[in-house]
Amino acid sequence: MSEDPFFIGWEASPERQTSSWRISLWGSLVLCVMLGLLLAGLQTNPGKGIFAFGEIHRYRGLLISDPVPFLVSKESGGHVYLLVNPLKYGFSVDLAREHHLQQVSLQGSLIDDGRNGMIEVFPGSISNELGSGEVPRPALSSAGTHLQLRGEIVDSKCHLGVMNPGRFKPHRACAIQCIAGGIPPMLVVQTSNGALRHYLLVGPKGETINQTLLEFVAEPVSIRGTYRTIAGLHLLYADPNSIERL
Amino acid sequence: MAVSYQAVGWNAFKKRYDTIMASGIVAFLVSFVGAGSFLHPEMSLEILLMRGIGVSAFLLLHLILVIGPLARLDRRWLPLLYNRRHMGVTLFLLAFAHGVIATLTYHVGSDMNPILSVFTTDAGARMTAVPFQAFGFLALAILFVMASTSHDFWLANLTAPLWKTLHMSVYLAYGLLIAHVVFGVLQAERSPVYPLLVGLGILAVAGLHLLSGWRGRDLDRSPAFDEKSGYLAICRVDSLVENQPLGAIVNGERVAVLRYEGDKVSCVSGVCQHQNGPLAEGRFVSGCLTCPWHGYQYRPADGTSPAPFTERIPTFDVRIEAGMVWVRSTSNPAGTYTVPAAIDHVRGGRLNE
Repeated sequence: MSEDPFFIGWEASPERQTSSWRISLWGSLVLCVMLGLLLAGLQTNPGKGIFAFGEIHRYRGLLISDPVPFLVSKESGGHVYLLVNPLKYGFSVDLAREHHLQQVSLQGSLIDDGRNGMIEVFPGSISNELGSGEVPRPALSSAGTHLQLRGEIVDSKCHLGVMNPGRFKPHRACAIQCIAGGIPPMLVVQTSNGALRHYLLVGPKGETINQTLLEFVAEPVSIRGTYRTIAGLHLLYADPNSIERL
Repeated sequence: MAVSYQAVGWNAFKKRYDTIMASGIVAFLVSFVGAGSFLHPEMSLEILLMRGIGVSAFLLLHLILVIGPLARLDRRWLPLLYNRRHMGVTLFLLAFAHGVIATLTYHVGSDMNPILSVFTTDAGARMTAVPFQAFGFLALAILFVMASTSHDFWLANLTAPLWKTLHMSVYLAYGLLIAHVVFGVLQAERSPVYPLLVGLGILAVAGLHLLSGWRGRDLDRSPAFDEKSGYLAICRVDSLVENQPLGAIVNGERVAVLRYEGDKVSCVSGVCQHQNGPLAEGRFVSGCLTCPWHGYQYRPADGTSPAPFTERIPTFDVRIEAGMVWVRSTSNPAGTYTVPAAIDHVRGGRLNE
């Protein structure tokens, strides 16, 4: 600010304003740095997932197409990876059915939140893998448990690591497009101790219900269904008619 | 002031002004992204950048909006107002960068057109579904129009009143951006500090505007009118401070009554031809009434800028009777010379009393 009570910009003399210029410069720098630190530090924890974008590795194992496409890995002790395509697209249904229950080799980038793994499959990289020891077919848990869960519907790809945070209102548009594009929808449930549980959402008979879920994405909802597991994946065979906004 | 159009009429003060502004923005972005990366290493870089740039634009908009009332309340803030248009253009560039990153991050990569997605992927009457993205897009469109018409070329060709009206839409953009933030990121963040800061920002903008309006309320009172002569009684002669104009309303128009060069009193329009700045808050400098916003100057007797400048404003006939300054209720055409009224020093400014 000027020492002159009436300031005229075009005649302002730099020599006369040296001290106020320095005070303004350093004052604004300190204020901006403090604001930046404060506002960045208060952000909600975005999640722990990683997306190894650009790092393409080969994975081998048994491909299962239903109820969601996944790979039971041969190399890492039967670790399970959900399969998706690049961008906002799910893994090709036709391709999954074509290779269902076959030993395959594919290339892709890892998405992992520490508990759930996913592979963004490099287009055209999948092929049948003959011989070299088969991976046994995992079994679906026979007796399902009926549950009513409260949580938020997200797309599994972003939430598991492609975007951190991949939840809540700002991410709603992205999640809608991802789920509309075939990426498996997931219900994120926060437990009383703050931990997150993830349930892949499919219809009562294991069918895809992505389009039905779109209007409920990124909102707090209640949903009923039958809980079952397969190869460590948590699935909710959900009744779309039971979904209620909270 | 300038006699011809230039991309930017640089001077020493503008360079320092822009240096401080750019340094502040860079310092904010570096600290925001740096602290965010350190404290939340898993956070996606594009989201961190998008947030940092968006917050810096939102903060800059608040600064832009409070400069006007601050400068009216205290002249020491006037230097911030002098180059406010550069802040406005910078605000648009930041908002545009924020919008581009958000669109690429959230809306590109599916079958849907990204712009269509902005308007269709969140809609509804519920708090969690109010379309915050469309608010941001519309605000960005307004900021674009303002930034692209910010140059004096557009000011001269659109005329100051129209240009001013157009640029008042910044308040609409502000409202849209409040909605964008409240129905967007505030629905995701859990810290109460964020809504608190947004609330304080709204209070500061609204409060300072109300306060500066309240301070200027005397200006809106109608002066006494003599129907026979067509003159209005503006003030007592002895209330005029030399070289400091007094604001008044004459027939609905803002005017500036000025006592200068000892015993002369003139009256001109109180609206600067440049950006409709408040001439009544200016000063008599170097033989001219000088606008407090950007230093545009007018001779008090004929309302004309000194050569080589060509700006002109309406003048008003003035007379002094019974110790009062009277101003004719109808203005003369812009640039018309009027004889300044003379104060009788012997009678202490009480001529004809």
